[in-house]
Amino acid sequence: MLFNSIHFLVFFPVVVCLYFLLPHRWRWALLLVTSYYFYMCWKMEYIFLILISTVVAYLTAMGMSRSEKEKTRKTYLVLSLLVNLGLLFGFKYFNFFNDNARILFDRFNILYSVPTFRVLLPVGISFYTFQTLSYTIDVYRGETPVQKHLGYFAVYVSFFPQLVAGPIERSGRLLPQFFEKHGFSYSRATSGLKLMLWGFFKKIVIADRLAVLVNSVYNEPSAFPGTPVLVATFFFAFQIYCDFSGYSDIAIGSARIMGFELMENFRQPYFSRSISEFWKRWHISLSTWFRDYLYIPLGGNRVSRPKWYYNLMATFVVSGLWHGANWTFLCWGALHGLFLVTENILGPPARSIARALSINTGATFFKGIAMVWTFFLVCAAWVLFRANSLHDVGILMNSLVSDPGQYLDVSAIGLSFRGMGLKTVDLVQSFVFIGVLLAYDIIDTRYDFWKLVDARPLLVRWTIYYAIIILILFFSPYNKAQNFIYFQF
Amino acid sequence: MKKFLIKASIFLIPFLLWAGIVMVIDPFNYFNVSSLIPDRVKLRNAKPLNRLMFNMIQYKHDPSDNLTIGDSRSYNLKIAQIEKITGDDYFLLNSNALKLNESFELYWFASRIKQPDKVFFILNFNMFNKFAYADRVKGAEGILNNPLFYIFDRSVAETCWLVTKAYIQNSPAVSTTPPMTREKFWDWNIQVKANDHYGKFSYPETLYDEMKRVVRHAKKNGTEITFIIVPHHIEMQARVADYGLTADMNRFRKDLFELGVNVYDYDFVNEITIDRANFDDPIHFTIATGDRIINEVWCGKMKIGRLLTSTVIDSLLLTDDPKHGD
Repeated sequence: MLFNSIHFLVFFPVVVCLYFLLPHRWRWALLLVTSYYFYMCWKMEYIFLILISTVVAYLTAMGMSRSEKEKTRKTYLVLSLLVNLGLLFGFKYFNFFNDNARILFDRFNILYSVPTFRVLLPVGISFYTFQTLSYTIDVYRGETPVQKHLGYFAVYVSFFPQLVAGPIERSGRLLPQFFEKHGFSYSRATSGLKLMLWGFFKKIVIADRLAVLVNSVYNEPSAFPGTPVLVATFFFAFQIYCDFSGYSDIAIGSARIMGFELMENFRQPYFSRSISEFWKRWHISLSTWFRDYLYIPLGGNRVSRPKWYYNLMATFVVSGLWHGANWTFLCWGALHGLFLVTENILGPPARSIARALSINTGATFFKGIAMVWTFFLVCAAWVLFRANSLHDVGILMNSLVSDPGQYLDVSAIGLSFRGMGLKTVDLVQSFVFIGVLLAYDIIDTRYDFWKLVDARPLLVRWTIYYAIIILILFFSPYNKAQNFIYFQF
Repeated sequence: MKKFLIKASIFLIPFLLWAGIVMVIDPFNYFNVSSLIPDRVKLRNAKPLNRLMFNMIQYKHDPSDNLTIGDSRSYNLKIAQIEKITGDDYFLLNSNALKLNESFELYWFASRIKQPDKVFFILNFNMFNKFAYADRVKGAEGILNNPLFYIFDRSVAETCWLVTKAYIQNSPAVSTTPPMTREKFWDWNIQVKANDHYGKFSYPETLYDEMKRVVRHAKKNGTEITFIIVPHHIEMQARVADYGLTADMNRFRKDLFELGVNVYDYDFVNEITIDRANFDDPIHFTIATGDRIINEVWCGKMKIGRLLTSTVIDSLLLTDDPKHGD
């Protein structure tokens, strides 16, 4: 079920009403049934994958809690990792490795007959397996108590607001919330609704609008010259941000209405002044997951410099692969790793030089330059992320750099956008809405936007709400719910 | 919770009111429950504003046995004239600037409602281009399948306003007259519009595959498909050569012919295309010209146009390929 569907508009209020009408002791059951229903609306049989992941994590954690022996506890941990990562590998990565192995064997004329596994990628598998993995690892480390109630644990794994695209919640934070008795709170409900409203705006009005141009260019890169590729890449930066942060806002908002607080997943990432800052603001639940369960166990930065750089690269390559079984994602992760390593190598001497020359790098001008430069690097990496293959990346890059004069030929620019089914007004609206988003983010860096709204009189507040709803209703680019990008991960 | 429900109910009132207004004005006769705005006002005002949606809704309410599908050039192939000649029931499923991919989407849309007996696709080479693409049919179909989308559609909202205004003021909501003289508009088409059509061309492989799929489906379901390549004035035809696309245009004819259906071609030098009087502008023929085409195609008496045959195709390919016959 998509958040941006009529189905969800009916489903969600019904769940909320039932949730507050039911006695507390049965609420976990309601959330479990509705979460499974939410997932099964997409593909019924894949619910078994969630069940396997849940039961294995539950049993292995129980096993760990009953044993004092380190070896036994480790065995349970390995078992849980094997099953969960096995599911992930089988459904998400098997074909990728298999196809590449076939190419390699063919090159050496060696017979390779392992067939392709024809299966649809289960929605959200990377999210819920990471959630169960973190639980098992935390139990093994003794950082979280074992959950003995299978029902509550199953709700933690499958809680519908964040089941298919996060935020990836840690058990220590989310699980205890299912035991708390939540009464209906007017302020929480309105706060959640406002967040959902903003999430819908970002997804429907901005992301889905930008997707039209982005898809046209990236699905047929050889058909478009540099200017549309440049605009499409710029648009994709905002499309993916609005798509994913929009989803996160809807998830956090809908959970909040029922009394749950999910973690923040985005914090104005495009205002970052370095790549390391970008990763503290972008998909926070995933980057902290990788930090805690991969980067730090590898040694983090408390090792020799070469090993530190290796740890960074390894973490980002794995993070790239987490996003999808494709060389483009792997290279995207590697490129971000490379950016970070470079930043760490060049950062200290650059700062020393600035100090020696008495340059105030904290001045607004330099901050602005750093922000634009970081955004440029992130956009360059997005080309890898969005392109359908490395071959397409080559075509796109060639279009961007081959003829610098094309960016000045105004008459040719108009014609170069032909073939996307877009009018000039669509492009203008896209830029206007990106402006609205940036304005919101600028306000939100200093103040809480919605708290500012709350301080206004009712008439002003309601005018703002109506304006956003009207934009969502009347400015959705197509009368068709578009999938969320992160569902494929 | 009570306070929340009361406030939420008050908050929703404007949306309910809006739904009521749209249902009452109903510019495209989607709900067909109110006659506050007479049909003639809707036909005169709402139809030119969004012909695609108007036609699709009308077709859904009252499907026909036979169809003509095309862009603005299909208006002057008058349905009444075709019905008069054939005695059959016809429906013109068209829209301004309809693209070929949309024509095929309209075929699928129509066949989902009722499989037609005959379908005439009105087209020209300028539509057979990978970059001649639009995606309006899916959106309109989404509206047809969900009343909420209709109520909260921007184009429906605009049309509601304009139709109401036209009804109150008793004057047309939109003017269809070009904002320049006939001569200037003619030159503008030859210079600007031609560049738009032919300035960026790529062979539309996906579109041709879709064309084949449509023909296969039609044949399997007993629907007779015909393509009519409508005439452009010779000045516009010359622009095809100016952009070096003559061979592509002939390939277009050959591709259509190879689909194994009747293809009537009027877009070459003939007594219609040499005379400006037969056109409103270089790409839109007049009603009288439309009648001449109808009399030829629907009566099977070709005089000016030509039915594409292997002989015609071979002669065309011979002229544009210098290596041929070496």
